[in-house]
Amino acid sequence: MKKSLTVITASLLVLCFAASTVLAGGYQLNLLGQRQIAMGHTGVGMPLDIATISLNPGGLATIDHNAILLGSSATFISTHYRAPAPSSYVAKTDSPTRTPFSIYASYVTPVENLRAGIGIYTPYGNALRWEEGWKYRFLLSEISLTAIFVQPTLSYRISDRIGVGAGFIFAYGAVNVQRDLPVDAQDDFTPMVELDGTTTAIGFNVGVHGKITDQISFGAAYRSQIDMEISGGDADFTVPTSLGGTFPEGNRFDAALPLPAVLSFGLGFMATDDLRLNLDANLTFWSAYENLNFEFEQNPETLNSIGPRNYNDRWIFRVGGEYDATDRLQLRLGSYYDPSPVDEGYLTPETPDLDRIGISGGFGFAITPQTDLNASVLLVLSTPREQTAQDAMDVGTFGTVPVGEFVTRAWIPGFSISHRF
Amino acid sequence: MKRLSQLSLFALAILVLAQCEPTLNERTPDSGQADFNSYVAIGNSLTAGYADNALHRDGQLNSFPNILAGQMKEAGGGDFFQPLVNPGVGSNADDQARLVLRMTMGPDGTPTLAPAPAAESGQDIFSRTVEGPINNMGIPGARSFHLLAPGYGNLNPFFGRMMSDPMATVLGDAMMAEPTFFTLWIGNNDVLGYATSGGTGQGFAEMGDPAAVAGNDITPMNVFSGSIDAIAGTLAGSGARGAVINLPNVTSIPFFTTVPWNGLVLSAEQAQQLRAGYAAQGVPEQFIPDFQPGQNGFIIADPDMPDAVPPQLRFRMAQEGELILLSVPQNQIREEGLGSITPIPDQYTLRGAQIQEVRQATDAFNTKLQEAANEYNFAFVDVNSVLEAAKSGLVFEGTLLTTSFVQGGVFSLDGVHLTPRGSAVVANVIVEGINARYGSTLSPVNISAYDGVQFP
Repeated sequence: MKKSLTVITASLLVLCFAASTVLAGGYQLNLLGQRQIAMGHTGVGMPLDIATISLNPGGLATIDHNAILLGSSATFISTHYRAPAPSSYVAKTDSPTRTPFSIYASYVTPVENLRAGIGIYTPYGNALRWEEGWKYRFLLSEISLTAIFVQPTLSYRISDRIGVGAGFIFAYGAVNVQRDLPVDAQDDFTPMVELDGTTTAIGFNVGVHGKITDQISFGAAYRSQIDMEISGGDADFTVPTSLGGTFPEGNRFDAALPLPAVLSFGLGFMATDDLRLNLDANLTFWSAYENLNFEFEQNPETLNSIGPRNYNDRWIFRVGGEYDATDRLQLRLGSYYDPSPVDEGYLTPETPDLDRIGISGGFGFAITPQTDLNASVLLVLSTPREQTAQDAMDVGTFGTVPVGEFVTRAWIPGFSISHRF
Repeated sequence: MKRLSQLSLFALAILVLAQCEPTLNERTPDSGQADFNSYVAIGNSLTAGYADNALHRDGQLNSFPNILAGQMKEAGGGDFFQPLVNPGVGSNADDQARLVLRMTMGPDGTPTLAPAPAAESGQDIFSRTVEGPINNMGIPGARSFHLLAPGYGNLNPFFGRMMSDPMATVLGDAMMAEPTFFTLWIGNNDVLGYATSGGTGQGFAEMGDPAAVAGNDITPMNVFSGSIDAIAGTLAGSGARGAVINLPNVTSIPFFTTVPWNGLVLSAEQAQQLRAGYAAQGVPEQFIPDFQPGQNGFIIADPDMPDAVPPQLRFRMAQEGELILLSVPQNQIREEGLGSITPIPDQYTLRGAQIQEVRQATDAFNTKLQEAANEYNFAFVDVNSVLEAAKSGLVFEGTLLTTSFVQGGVFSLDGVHLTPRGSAVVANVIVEGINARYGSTLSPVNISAYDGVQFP
């Protein structure tokens, strides 16, 4: 045990020097439960706790108690940019720390084999602020994207071995995008535009969970695509008075951003009485994200923009384990591989996306027989990625995307508390 | 206890990882075979940072040499001393303040944006003299041979305010800064003096005398060649390395391209009225311009018509490719029938033959500049082809730059000189040329960090 930890420590340090870190693919946030995060965000095949409401609603049928679970992570993310050689220019983000959260509650209904639950969670989000006056300030200076899903769920145990579940999703979305405008003012301010909008949408989440043997279980889940369509968002232009005709006051915009569907499979192994292992795979249907277009109510001829994104569907592969160190203490480790859905030529300042390897660890501690504390930390590692002018020209995005290298470092500690009754 | 130490080791590893920095290190520019310790910029108004029709401090601070010197500093460059004027509206040689964009109400009450002087008169920039050695030896108005002329400071107040001696030459004063590196951008005025005065002076000539060159003439080839040889030879003889920059064609410069040759838009009725008006004045039928509904060429004076044509009939419609200059009184076009009822005087147009003179001179001078750069192994910077490409637009960092007036972002409000953003574009082209020639790795600047034309 000690030797293996030393090996892990050493390899983590090697990775530190070989690579750097970034958060989840695109603008996805796989931070749905602290116990799962600590295990490489696995759990589709093994309902570890009621966070299964979001990971796999079918797993809720196996949980035989009422419970509440409150958790949150904190994202510490820093993205660096370096201009192509021979430029000496580098820029950093000064992104605010966000706290994606999850709240779950489950209820063993009077109806036999029927469980009810609700999950409130944040499966997508983005918060990024580039340093003031950075090179690509005309493309983006700051973005904030928030998506909160509220998901009432029913789960039913069909047999001793099979459970199914389904949830209805009510989604709230908010987006705020700021960028500087390529015009200059005689007065001492920087012309810019702030786009701000909110919306709501609906979707669903379904899953099945089953036991193949007493030692092996499986799960499959599908969460539907939800389109965040912002209609009549505020487009607030700060411009010189003489340019008011081009950038009218009180303008409004429409835009649509898909929150892609996710298909997940998982296998769970009870390796020994005190060791549990999980293998998960998620397919995120990123190909739904073809364009990010902004259409304006006033002066659309000049202001409308079309941003091709052309993301690709991508599989994420995950592995995780949990070891009962004592009766009250569980230790967890996990890892995943999350290839970028974004091709060269489509990297944008709001999602300078990279292939990543996630490494996580954490523990659970039973304060009382009914109350657990869980803590996790997730590190996401990647190598720098370069987008050249040629990449952008090849796909026709030159002038609308940055050229240069990106790398992101993130570490995400999290904490949750659960209570069973 | 053992378990606790294992745990703390694991926790330590996590903490170390959390602190680890991304691997994109800042590059350190290198000077290669060049030595940027003492950079001296030699040239005219473009080098001085003259912009918006005046020399003013903002323009100087954003001159392409000052931008370039900032980049050289990252590669061992020294301080760059500019003969800065006091903050203010600046001045040109005619005591006029810089131009700024102003909102004005037109006669029909519609607001229009137009360049206007920032003050009634320029600030006094000439009474305070500057002590050298000076790194920016850009002298507004200077032609090639002026750089070698003793006592030029007595003729040109922009040199007068910084000359080391009443009989000093610009080149001599430049050498006092002991340049290890130079940029030489000279020759623009050798052509522009003729072009901006509408081709009213002497056109391109192979031979001539510098003393006889008037302000609206093209510098004769022998004078230009001899001057460039002398300047380049002096610089090379001192052991300095540097970059020679060529001259843009007038068709890349908004002063010549903003007013369209066929901007006279008429209704059928107006066309008819104009024809009738000319007939009423006794203009013979074959001399009456063929006004048509829609776009028409402006009516311009053409003093070069054959002798058989009486002087009062030496006018015609402008043809495609001919240029109407930005200096034309545009309110007279709108309100007094200039260019329709009365011809636009010759000083505001470049006609076909005159454009040929300008083109021939520009090409010959550029060939000479390239030969001089080759002879002494200096970097040669082809700004001309970059500005040529900018006519259809260049994309930098998410913004489109063009050579169009006001909106284009490259040229300032006088239509000839650069905005800060235009200076940054030029500085980057020069950086590229220096790096290619001397194996240096000077860093380009971010275009988005520099302003174009400022709007009220």
